[in-house]
Amino acid sequence: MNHEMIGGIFWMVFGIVLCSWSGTYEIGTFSHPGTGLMPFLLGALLIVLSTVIIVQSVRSKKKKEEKQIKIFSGNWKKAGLIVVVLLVACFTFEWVGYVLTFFLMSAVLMILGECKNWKQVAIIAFCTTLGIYLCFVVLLKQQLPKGILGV
Amino acid sequence: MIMGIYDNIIVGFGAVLSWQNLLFCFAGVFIGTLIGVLPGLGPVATISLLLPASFSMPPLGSIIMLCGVYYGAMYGGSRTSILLNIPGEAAAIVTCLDGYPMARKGRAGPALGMAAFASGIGTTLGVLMLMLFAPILAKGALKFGSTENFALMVFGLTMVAYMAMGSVVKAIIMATAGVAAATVGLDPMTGGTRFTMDSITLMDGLGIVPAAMGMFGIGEILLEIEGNIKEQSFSGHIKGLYPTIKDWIRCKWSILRGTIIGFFVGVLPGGGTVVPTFMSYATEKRMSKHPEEFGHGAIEGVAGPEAANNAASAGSLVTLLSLGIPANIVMAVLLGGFVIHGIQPGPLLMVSQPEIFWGTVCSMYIGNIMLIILNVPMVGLWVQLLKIPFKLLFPLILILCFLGVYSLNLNANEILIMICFGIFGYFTKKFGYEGAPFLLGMVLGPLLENAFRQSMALGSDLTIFFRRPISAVLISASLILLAISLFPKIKGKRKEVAKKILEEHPEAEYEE
Repeated sequence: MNHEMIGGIFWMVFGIVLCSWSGTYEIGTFSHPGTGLMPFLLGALLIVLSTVIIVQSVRSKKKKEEKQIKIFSGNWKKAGLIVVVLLVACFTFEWVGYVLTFFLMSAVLMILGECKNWKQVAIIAFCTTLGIYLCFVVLLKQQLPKGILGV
Repeated sequence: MIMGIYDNIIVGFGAVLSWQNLLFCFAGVFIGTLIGVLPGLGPVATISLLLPASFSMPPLGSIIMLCGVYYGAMYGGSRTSILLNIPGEAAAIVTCLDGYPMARKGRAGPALGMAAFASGIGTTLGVLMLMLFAPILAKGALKFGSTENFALMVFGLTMVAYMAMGSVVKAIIMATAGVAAATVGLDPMTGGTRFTMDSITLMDGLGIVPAAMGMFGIGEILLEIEGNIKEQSFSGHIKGLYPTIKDWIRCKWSILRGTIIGFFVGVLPGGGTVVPTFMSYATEKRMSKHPEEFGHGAIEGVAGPEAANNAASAGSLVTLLSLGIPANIVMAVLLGGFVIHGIQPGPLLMVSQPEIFWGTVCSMYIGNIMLIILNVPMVGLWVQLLKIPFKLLFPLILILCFLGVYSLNLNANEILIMICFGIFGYFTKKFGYEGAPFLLGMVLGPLLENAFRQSMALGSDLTIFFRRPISAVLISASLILLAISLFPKIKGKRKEVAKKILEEHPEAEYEE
């Protein structure tokens, strides 16, 4: 299955889900549109357009012209780890507090970015956190969660 | 008319010439140039990031600053294009073609100088045209009802799809999905909830800022990381920043043509700042007496596109300020900046709050002078910045995205939405789906649905869009554009140039 086909199938499923989910709301008529009409029409349009993509991908497969892309290529594991770091930071941000979150986040991300000098990592992570404190908390008076450290 | 413009200039400069507003203007253009120079953070993500900070600022000051970020990024983007062959901003992709060969021939100075001067002239003339055309457009816009507004938004979304670098069908899918994403939350007409899964966060909708920062901030970084971090830095010496008289003679008409193309494409909903640079480059190459020099360091190939992207940034403000409809995704985020301060851009803005309207316009003249100073004599500062390695820069960009989204509503769930959009942006770009139509669809979605349902209530069937002349013209134009897209020969010329550039810069995408 080529990547165009995968994309087409994704949008078709998205369109079908959108249409059926919209059906749970009142659709109404064109003269009296209900809550579900607009998403239903958009879902239907997505189904039509994704069909075009799927048909095009089948044709190009026949012509053997298509340049394939690899879904998981290069440093995809590192990109995945960065997403994990962001998710962990997101779920613990309010509990841990901004100081610890941003210090650890910048340190871990730098290590993931192949910054091997530990001293440099610690100094830059500290400066980043201090910069955020000065700029956002002191200067712009943003309210950031203090968390377990209470600062 | 001349007297009217004179009065408006007085009102504008009267509003903008205070030390606070000058400081906001400087902050905006400085940040704009900075993010233009540094890869990873474009004007969309930066303006989104600054939105929460602008809550506490005066309305005019914050709008001046946010606009400054936009046109400042147009200046900054060319620095990396010329010195490193890496576009710092999507609108500077074309500048790589001749800017970098000039630098390799030891003419980095004149290339940087000409880029800055062409940008300056492009913005100045663009703002002049803005002053002339915005009042005319605003007057005409008073005749617009829900039907015309709907047709205009459909035209805008069609233009975005038509102007897309890749497949038109894919761009329409993204625009449709964007409008669908905007239906999450409260129904604007009945107040009922849709697709919220009982989440209080989702009742407010998915949010344009988490979406923009996710797709254009996190998504881009993930792609950069995946593609192995390549460090490149400029080690040469820059001398002779001022272009020669011969350079000026070669470029005078290129700058003028670039400005005109940039402004009028920028005015069109969906026109953006990237497409005019391609159009300008193609025009210059066709009109040049030495087309063979293009791609090998022709200074017109730097001057024309640079004037075009800056004039386009002025042009896109016309649609926002006089119609209240964002012409591109940066304008959509900027619209958020207006709404935060209770300002409604549109035909009545220049009557109800002339100091905001004309103050914003006149600030662009001042910002422009600041940018020329920042980019010509102080070019060394930006060259030093290029030495910061990406491995140290990307954690900071991610933290700023994180912080910017949280600061909006102090809600960690919005960070989760941003991460989800980051993953979505990463995969869609990988599969060849552009992010700009999605975000424009998401911004226009609620307006589009309201206008559609109001029109339906008036006309009871779809023929209402063809019974009113303005709407009929716009809908017909949209259908013609879609039809043209199906005939590759007509669209081929622009595609040809785009293809060549994308082959040389596979990382480039049509991003506003």
